[in-house]
Amino acid sequence: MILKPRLEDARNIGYYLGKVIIGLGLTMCIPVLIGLVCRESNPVYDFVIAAEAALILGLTLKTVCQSDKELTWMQGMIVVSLSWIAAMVLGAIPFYLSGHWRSYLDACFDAMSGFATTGLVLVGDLDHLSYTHNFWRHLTMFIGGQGIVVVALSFFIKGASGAFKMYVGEAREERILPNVVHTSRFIWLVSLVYLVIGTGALAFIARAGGMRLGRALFHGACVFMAAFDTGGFCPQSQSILYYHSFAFEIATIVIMILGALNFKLHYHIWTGNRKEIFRNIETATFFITVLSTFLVTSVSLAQTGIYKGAVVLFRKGFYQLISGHTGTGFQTIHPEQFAREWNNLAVVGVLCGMALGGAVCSTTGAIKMLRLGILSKAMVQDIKRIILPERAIVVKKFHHIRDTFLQDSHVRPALLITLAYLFLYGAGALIGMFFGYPFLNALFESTSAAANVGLSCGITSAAMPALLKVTYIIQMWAGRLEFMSVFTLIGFLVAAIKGK
Amino acid sequence: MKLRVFSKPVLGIATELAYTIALMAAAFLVCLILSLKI
Repeated sequence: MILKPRLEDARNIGYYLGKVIIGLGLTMCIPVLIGLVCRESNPVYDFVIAAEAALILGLTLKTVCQSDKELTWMQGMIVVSLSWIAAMVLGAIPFYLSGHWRSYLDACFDAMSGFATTGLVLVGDLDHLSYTHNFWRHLTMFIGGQGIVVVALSFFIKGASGAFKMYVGEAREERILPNVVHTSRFIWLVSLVYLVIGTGALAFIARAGGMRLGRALFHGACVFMAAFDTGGFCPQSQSILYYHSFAFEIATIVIMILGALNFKLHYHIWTGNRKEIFRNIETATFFITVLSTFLVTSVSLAQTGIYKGAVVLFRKGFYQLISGHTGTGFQTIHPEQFAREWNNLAVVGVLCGMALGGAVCSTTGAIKMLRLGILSKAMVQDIKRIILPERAIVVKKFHHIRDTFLQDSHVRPALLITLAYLFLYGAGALIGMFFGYPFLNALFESTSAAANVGLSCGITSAAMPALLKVTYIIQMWAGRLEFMSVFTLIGFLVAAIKGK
Repeated sequence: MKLRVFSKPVLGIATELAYTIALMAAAFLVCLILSLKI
């Protein structure tokens, strides 16, 4: 028997959802400031309208659903999944008002792509978009990369009860510090420290390349936010190709890899446990999978002979691979080149990298390295069990901050989430094929959306069917939240209809 | 005392950068070997 949700559940969910939406409304004040500095009056109005809408909705929910009850696990998960939908709908308002997006659905697509740190774009005439809107595109990635709820926890929900339940719902099961609010703040500390260093480095390279100082700083900040949060938006339509700079590409590779590392790992390395980076199962797995997938891609690219010389192969082959593997989505080739110039095996190499992703508790999407490492160890353990005498006890350990004995309780969730991702990749590919796209292209684009990557082989455009846009939005949302909070929301809705 | 407080994060950042450089160097080595064969 399914129990019908109580009114109290809805009130609690509404109350916390209201708080998160207020937080989102306040963050919209940042582009307002940018607009005032850049003297862009129309974009400022767009953001004032959007911020007002968010604040009115948030305050209404908070007032109507006033509650002092602690969140349950179910409620926390639902708050998270609804927060992301609310962020998409409200974050799309300034996009739509700018006139650069053909429809509100297109604006929602880009808003979800930003918050979920995917990087697929439907914007038209990006090169003439205002500074204010362009900054908001990248800020959505910075907010979404840390986690919308993490933002709210860090700055707007002081000492919230049940905070950990929302934190977990946002696909961040690892608590770095005992207090979840302190954990959220540490995540921000790492990001802000790297923001200063990364923006400075990128702006310096851009300035050296001839860009004006103000513009170089703007591009540096935007590209950093998209790179560190493994998002993939770029201020110009040509992505990283626009800069024509090897130094800029190297800097973005470094930032992308740093963004793909676990925040818990950052904490331990920054507090003196530096050997951890060489011992951790995630960094070791990442090193191996990056090189293996790159080997597949580079050997097949070398076969075709389109990139002659080591530097070109690195700039074209490795750049797309690492961009896909870290879940960023920056490109130094045009999307159509994947489909027309690259051979299938090279594309499959990048596709595998995209499907695997970076570390857990980072800003990347996809299956992630900890799960892959655990599943590999479990497979070795099972093979040993078969080979060794029946009475032999096979024990396997893995190192993630500390040595842990491998148990079924580690393997089961890793396997379930991996299967869910594979299903999501496949389902999106089937829908793509339904609309007439070739299998490999459909699978590439679907994996890119579900793994929150953003590399495109040319399918994603404002002209693609609306159903495919909705499919990719759902994939980006479910992939970013790692399913559990989405499943909980579906269960809640079923219970509301069928429950007794 | 203050220097010691800051030295850990600075060395931490340096360690993380060393990891990224090692990964890029390994990938470039692959490119170099493949380009020599072409």
